[in-house]
Amino acid sequence: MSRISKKKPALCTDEPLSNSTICQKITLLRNILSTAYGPTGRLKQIHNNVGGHVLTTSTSTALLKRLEMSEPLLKLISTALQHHTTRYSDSGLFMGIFTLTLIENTKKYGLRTSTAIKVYKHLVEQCNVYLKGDSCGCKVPVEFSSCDSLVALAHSMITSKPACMLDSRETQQISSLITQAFLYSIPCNSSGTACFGRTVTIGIEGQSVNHSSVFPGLLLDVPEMLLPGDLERLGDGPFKVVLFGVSLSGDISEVGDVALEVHRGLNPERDLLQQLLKIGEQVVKDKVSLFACQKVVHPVLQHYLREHEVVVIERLGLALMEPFAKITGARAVASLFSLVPMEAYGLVAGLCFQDCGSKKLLQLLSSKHAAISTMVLCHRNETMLEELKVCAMTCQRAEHVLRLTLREPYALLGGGCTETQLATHITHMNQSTAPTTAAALGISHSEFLMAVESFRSSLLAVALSLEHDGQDCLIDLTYGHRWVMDISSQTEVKHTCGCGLLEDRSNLEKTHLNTACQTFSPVFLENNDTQPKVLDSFSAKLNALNVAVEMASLVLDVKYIIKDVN
Amino acid sequence: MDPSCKQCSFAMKRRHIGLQQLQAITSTAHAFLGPNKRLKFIQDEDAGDAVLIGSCPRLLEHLELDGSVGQLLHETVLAQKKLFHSGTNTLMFLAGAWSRVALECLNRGISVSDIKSAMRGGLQECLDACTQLAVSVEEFKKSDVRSNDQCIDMMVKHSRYINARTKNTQSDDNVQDFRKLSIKSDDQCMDMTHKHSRYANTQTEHAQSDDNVQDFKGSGIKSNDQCMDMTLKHSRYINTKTEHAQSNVNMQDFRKLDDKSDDQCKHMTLKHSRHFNARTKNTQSDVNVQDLKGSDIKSIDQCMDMTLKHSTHFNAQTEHNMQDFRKLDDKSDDQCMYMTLKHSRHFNAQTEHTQSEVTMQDFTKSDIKLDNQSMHMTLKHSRHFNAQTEHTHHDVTVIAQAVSHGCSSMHLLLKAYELQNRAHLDIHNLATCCIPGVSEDHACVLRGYVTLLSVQQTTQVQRLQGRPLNIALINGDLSEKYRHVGFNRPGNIKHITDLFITEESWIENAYKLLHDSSIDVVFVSGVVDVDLKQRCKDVLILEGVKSSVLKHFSTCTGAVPVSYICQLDERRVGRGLRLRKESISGRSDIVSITTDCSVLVTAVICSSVSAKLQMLEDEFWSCAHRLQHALTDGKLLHGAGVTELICIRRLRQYTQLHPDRSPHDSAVLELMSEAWMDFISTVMLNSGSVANRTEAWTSITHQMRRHTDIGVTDGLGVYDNVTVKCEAWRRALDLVFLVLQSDTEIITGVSQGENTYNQLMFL
Repeated sequence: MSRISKKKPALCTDEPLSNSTICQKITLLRNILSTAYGPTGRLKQIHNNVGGHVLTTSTSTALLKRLEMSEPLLKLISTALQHHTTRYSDSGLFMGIFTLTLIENTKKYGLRTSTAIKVYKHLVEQCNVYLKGDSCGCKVPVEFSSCDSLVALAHSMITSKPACMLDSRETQQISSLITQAFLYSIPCNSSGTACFGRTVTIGIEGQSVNHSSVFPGLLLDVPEMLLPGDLERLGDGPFKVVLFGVSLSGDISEVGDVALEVHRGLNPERDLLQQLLKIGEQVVKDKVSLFACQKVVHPVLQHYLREHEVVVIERLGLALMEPFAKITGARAVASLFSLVPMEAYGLVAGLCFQDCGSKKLLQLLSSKHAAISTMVLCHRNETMLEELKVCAMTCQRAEHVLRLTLREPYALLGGGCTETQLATHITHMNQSTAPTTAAALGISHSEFLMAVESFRSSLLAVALSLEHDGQDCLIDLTYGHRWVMDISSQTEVKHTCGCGLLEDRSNLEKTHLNTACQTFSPVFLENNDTQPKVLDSFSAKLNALNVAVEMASLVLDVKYIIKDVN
Repeated sequence: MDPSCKQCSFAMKRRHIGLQQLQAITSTAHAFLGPNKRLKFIQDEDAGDAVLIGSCPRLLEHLELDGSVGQLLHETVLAQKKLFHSGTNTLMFLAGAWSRVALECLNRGISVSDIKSAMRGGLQECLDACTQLAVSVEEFKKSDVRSNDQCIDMMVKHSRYINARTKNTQSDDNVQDFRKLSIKSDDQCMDMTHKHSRYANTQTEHAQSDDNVQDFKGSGIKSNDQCMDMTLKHSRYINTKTEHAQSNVNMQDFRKLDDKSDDQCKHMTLKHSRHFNARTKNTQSDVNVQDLKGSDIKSIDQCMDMTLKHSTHFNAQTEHNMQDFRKLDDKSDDQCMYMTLKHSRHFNAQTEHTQSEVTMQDFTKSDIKLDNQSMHMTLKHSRHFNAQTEHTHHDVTVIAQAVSHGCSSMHLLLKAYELQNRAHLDIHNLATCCIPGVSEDHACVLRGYVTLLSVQQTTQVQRLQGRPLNIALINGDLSEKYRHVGFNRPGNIKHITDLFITEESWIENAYKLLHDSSIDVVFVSGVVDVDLKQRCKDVLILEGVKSSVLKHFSTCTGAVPVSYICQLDERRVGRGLRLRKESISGRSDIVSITTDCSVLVTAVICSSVSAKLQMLEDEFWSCAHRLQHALTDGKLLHGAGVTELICIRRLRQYTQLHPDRSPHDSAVLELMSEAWMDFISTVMLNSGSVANRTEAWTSITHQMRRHTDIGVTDGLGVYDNVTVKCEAWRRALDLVFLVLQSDTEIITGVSQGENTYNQLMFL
């Protein structure tokens, strides 16, 4: 007789956004994200309470990777956000804050969801048109003839990550390094389809930040057994290279978790080692000088190779496989049971030691002018290994942002000025046309205005999130830029606006951000001599804006959450 | 249950929980600051055992810190330890002190970014001070006495930058004041002359110094030494002829001295040495000798004469020196001892140190021998003087003493250094061996790798002693089950019929291999199969050998470390090893393993209290690293709170110098200097020089007002490492900033059902 265990019925939540627990969680997530926003953003310490590593960060990427949400709606937003940051590397927090505030504001203003969705979509279209248009006051063209704006872009990326703990001089240095690495990655005099080179970022702990630098080629940790004499014995390059993508540790873990029945007289371990040594013999016969493996190499094989003057690099790691293959032209061998095909071998032009601070690294020089460079980042604080990783991650990101800039050679004003200008523009534009637009959308005039107001204040909420020390945020009534009260005096405004484009004048009228004021069209600033000091990535922010509205609409549209609890 | 995140909030407006936690955890480490550490017992209630703790890393290791702040602190301390092996106590203290500063700032409504920029500026100011104050090891070993004065000079120089011109004009007034001086004004006088000589032109200098001399001539015995100070200082800046002239005047003055002159004379030469560098060292001892003699006027004259000559002709001086020494014919032992001590104080050498010992013996034996010795010393020093880059043995001893911080382990380290017989301390070829049950006095240093043996091994050693042996080196465990790192053991292998390889057959194979390669000794970094050990009666197998030792024996014997015993063959066996049974205080289960070219030495650390062994070993290594850092840095900072005292002064000056800065800055910097006060007072309190904190603060304030430093009274000759100290400060501040900027602690993987946490929000 078999027993049947009854399945539990699915749990259904009706109108999830009217559920107070869910709303609380949305507010909590919004709080976490908005307190982390900007150069003075507060850090979050994430750990697992059983002695695991403490992650200290304020970046959305690192934060959301570790956060596990209990609510499907939050999971949805978190996933969308992570997708955005993988593609665009920037504006993750902007998107998160904007999405969540839009949802909250829709509730707060008591808007019908369908109305709100319609209006938001309409508005975001208007934003797209404005931002892409020529009369947009919040974007600046990126000059590739000088690296100033590139450095400024990288600089604002770095300063918005306070966990890097860099002082102003160090920030300047790292920003120029990133720009330098970016410029290295642009292939020169290539015919046909040009493609970007690659920058590998490695971190060294304990060294002071000013030891950071960019090197051509690939830099690796020096293998423990490699002595300077070994390289001298090798002589001059180029050297033949073989690269393995499988573990050469001699175990049989590759077969997976299955039961093996081994017959008498068979010793799988010994046989595997024999096989490994066969590879070794072939490689030595083919005059390979550099033997690299992603994973572990059996010590017996290592001994054999070293005795034949082959340099062994093991535990290369997955991240370095691709750049290694690229720089050497070697194809990763994925099997140890067949001979290494001739075309799998690669070449390096040279091998040498490179000093970085007090640490020695092994440098591989490309034989084919592959645009691969290695950015070595040093940080004085060895403890914050994670912090360094955040730093390294930030740097890769910043470089990514620079590449996106090549596609759309614009940058947006940073420091909250884009948000304030955009909000001002949208409100002003829809003030006069409200009746017709409302009619076209099939909603009432007042509802339309309310939704515009909700959109506006959500945008401003992002700009407001930049301040964490309790200063007042202002907006000027001419250009629509964001200004901050000087903390020390409390009565005077800081000399320049958020992005650094405008200088304060006595006749510049300002009002507190997020207070109702008369609508105006921000004046388009032409022929300005000063350059903005804080810049944001154009493509990243544009995408974030669109995805945020889409996500907010999606979440607002959810009527039921059905959970299978079996 | 869903895995969910919960978060708790750190920053409640003006009450930052994270910083409070940091302050609370670090307060446990206050007792470790300074030379007299108060040890702690940490008892594990569950396991029922207790450990004796004497340092921060060990403390944190045994505390179960589950909060994020505690873990961050632990990570920071471990990183410092890993890189420097030193400075962790300072780091932990400052992390606490500075989190209190940050808390107080928040309390006063100062914003986080203001606190950050002000504290960063403050630290930078202190680090700058360190760079300026750092004493080059070369300088330092020549005259340790001047160290504190130099600090003052530095400070003076600094203040001079503020308003050089006014100072210049003021100096005249100072001279006037100086004429009516009492002993108290001594320091002021020093400063004045210094400034003066820098800025006044040579002419006025001449005039003024003449004036001063004239004044002092009549100003009685008490002021005489001050006069000397001044004139001698002047002589540094004016040409040789004037120097001679002045010195003549000085001699005139000195001739008027009566038997009170001992101190003054001494004082004079000390000051003197500061300006004539190391050469005058020998003079110092002369003066002391003269003091011992009872100092009649004649001898002082000679001494003066000698000094003058010395400053022009070094060789001549040496001879004078010898002659002076020759006059010390029938000295009693006591006097000689006293002299030697004086002597060694100036050289900062230790009485245990071979040279000093010899010197002492020679002193007691005969004056001729003593002359030779002193000759030898002088020559040695002259060599130092000429070839400054090379640290000689003596220099290392001097530096070691300075950074010993009262650790008895330093003697042991110096013995190790002597035994290594190298220009530099070779920390990579240094090992330790702890022997319980033997009193601490038996600690010693032996050549080679020293380890304790089991009963079986003791008999093996007996058999193997006295002939060259073969060695094999094994990385990892020596057992059938062992596989190299990265080898994933298949979980589910079933052998049909019998096993193809049994443990017994593996042991037989291993034994055969060892036997065939005629291996006598095996070093294993991991553990060794018990049965194999039983089987190999004629092979000495040592477990748990550190990889640095393996590496050493690999280079010395030609042995190649292998992972599996089956890899062993003729080419991987090392040769020429020697064993020697050692006996320490009746324990004969100790062996030392050497080769002909071996430079490895082992410090044997003994204690009858086995709980202390770990601590003594830690102490030894921290001494070793301190000394190594000193030698690699080539610079040292004043210890015993002197550097911190100067930091306070710098911070206060900084606020005065930049009144235009934000008003919060001065408040933050004032709080930072209070944190330094706290540091110094804790050091003073722990070292027992004051009875309570109030007394310490009073003393510090007093020292601040005067221009002398606390180091003069109780910190003479205590020095710290520059890089280690600065790095500890930076790391402490980084940690405080990380916590200060954090507002949320997020704990992952906790189910909502668990009720252990209140006031938490779930995401």
